[in-house]
Amino acid sequence: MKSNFWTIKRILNYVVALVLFGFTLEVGARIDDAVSFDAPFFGAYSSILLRAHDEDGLRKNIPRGQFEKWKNNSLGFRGPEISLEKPEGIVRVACMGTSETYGLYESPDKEWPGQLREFLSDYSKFEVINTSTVGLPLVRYKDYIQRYVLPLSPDIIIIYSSPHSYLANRIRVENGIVGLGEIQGGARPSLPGNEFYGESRSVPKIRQMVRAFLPPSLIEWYDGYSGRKQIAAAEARYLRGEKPFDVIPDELLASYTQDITDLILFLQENNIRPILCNFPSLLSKENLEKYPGTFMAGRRFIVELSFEGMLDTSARVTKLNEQIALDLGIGFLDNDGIIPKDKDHFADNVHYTDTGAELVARTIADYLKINY
Amino acid sequence: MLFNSFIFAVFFPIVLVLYWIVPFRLQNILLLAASYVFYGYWDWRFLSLIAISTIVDYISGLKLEAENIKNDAKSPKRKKFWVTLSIVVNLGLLGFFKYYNFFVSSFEDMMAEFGVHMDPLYLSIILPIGISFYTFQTMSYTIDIYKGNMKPTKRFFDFALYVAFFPQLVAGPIERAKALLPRILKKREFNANQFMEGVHLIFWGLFKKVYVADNLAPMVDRYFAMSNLTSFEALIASYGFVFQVYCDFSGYSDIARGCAKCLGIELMLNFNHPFVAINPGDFWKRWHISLSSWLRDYLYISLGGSRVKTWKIYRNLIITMLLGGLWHGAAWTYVVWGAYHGAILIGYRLLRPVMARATWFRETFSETTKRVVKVLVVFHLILLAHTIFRTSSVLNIWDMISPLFIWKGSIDWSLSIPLLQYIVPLILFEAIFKSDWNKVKKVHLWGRSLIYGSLFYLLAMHGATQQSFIYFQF
Repeated sequence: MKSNFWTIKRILNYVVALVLFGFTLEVGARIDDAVSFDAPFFGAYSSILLRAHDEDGLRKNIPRGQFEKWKNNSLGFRGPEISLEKPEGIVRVACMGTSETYGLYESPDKEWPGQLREFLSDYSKFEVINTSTVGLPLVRYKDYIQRYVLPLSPDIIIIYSSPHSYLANRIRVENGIVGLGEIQGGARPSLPGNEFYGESRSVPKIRQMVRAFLPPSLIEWYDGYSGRKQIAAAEARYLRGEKPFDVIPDELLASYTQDITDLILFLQENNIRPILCNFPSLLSKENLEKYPGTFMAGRRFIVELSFEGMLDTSARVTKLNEQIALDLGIGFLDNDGIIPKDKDHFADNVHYTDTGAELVARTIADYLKINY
Repeated sequence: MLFNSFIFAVFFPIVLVLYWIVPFRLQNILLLAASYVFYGYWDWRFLSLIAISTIVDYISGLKLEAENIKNDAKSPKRKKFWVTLSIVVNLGLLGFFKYYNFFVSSFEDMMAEFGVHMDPLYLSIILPIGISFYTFQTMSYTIDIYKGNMKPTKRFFDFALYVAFFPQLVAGPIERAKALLPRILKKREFNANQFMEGVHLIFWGLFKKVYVADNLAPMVDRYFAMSNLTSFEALIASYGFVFQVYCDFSGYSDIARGCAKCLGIELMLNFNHPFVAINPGDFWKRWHISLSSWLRDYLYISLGGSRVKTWKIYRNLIITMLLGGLWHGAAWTYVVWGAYHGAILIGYRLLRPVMARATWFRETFSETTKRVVKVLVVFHLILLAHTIFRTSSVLNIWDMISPLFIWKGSIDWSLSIPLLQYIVPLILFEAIFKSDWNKVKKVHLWGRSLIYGSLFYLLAMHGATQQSFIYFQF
């Protein structure tokens, strides 16, 4: 009886020690966030602080929203403060896109619009505004621009959009799985957690630390493993027994052409010069074998396309964009052909490293310097 | 294989589990195989050098002992032959791989001064990591047998394990055979307290290496690459480097000792709070103890040590420290560093009688104040030595140390923040626990959880990315 009591006491002692260890990590993470990012010690602290949906279900960055390295200005755009009114003699360049434009893996100010701003800093006539918002689907660019970008009176809008994401969403709409207004691109923002303590802040940091410590090959393997599971769940939800596309049907590409054309015409009607960019990604036949985990992790958002379908989309949309730009007489940049498809330039399938973003920015900057 | 790498994090637990499962006779074989895998993971070709060293010294040891037993008229001559063979082979390997190009280039420069232009043969060789450590370690075995200080072992694989024992193979401590070999030959029992102390040492060593040293490294590198430093920047660079090198090297030693403890084998203490040394001699009893005691026993004492005329003592000190400097690497900065250390050791000996007569100092200040003053003076003398050690060439030494003596520029306190951020947790932990497991384990388990939790947070979240150990190049 007595020995049982001591055993239980001993076990409890170790359990409390373990809890205290975890508690210290959590307190450390919160102090760290407070010191590094001016984050609140208690309460919700996640990417939900950065963006929300407006009354029409349109994704929009929250003005002055701040989470870790990401900061929105008072108008809700990532980057420095700007006035709503365009200053005299300034050419305003708005960068439209989603997470690859808003910036994900890059260091602060190293996302491509940030670096574009830096490259054009000697040309005082340009003012670069990162008008992107994470997860905004292409079909809603027009509404978004009308509501949030036109008030800035931009002169140029650079259009960046993932064709894979567009096609996947288009298929979902046509199959009646989601309504046009419900389309969301990319990952959902993380949950806010409990109002008082929020969600754990040490766990994501530890996960990140473990990923940094493990060899890339193991990470690839794990991403492949967990990606497969998530893909299976997403396929069950979105494909409903159908097979993903290996070759994109022409009618889907036609609706892409239609939507992009509508957007460009809308911009031109508003005296804005659009520049259409091909969407660079890590995707290539060789890389599919080299980084299977990376593509598994990426495909869970676009299960309607097989890997072959993704390759087919990239190849055909690249040509299509060039043709659309030519037909409508607008600027066109083939960034996909310029950025090397390797892990020095891409942190994952579609997001850049600082170096990759630098190359995107440099290409656009050179184009703007020559043409405007 | 780096201690702070993923591969070691997999390798060591596997070795550890197998080690405590297999019977004693197989434990040493397992450790020997693990040691060769550990070293061969870096470059398997250089395993041959360890094997050569092992075979030569094993045979020399047995032959020396045979002569010790025989003890006939020719024995001294034969003993001299075997010990010389061991020294020539070990120093030959070391000299060839580490110093060949250095001496050739120095000779070429010297001849150029006399107007003779040469075109010597430079070899494209890489330095086998840890060669300075294991050659010194294995040489001590034959020298000790030659001197009659120990008996050789007939167990070849156990001796091979002594030479290649992986926790201390590439950066020490340089263990003497008479200390480590008996521990290898003796049956080990699992001891939970020893094991926990080992885990504590591994953790603390990783903290010093990954959090302090590797985070200070980029800052130090940046300053040492700059020209025209202000005095404050030079100070920050010097303070940064002294803590970087201490945490890098003592961190390695702690991890080595910790791993060995987990395997039930004790290794010697290599660092004993060197920055609280009260005189230059005391510093060498606390810093890289295994090398300084090796140089003392096998070089300084062989030259006559302190039992000779005063000028000869100074000569011995200078020779020992010059060779100690050269041991670190084939560069003139290390020679200057050695000469500087020799000079401060001699300076201290010269000043000692003067200080003994300074009664006002003894009588005016309390013991604590006197100690603090001494510690600060010695620390800054050592700081200067490390600054010399870190400079890229002899020509840059003055550029780096002159701002420390001639004030230049203004003070920008913000520059000290990155330095303080990394050294304050180190100093706090060292001050409270003196890195001593016996002090740590007295803290209640819950308190330890909080301490380890804090240190783990800093190590895991703010540790720098994997970098090699500074002393791997020596």
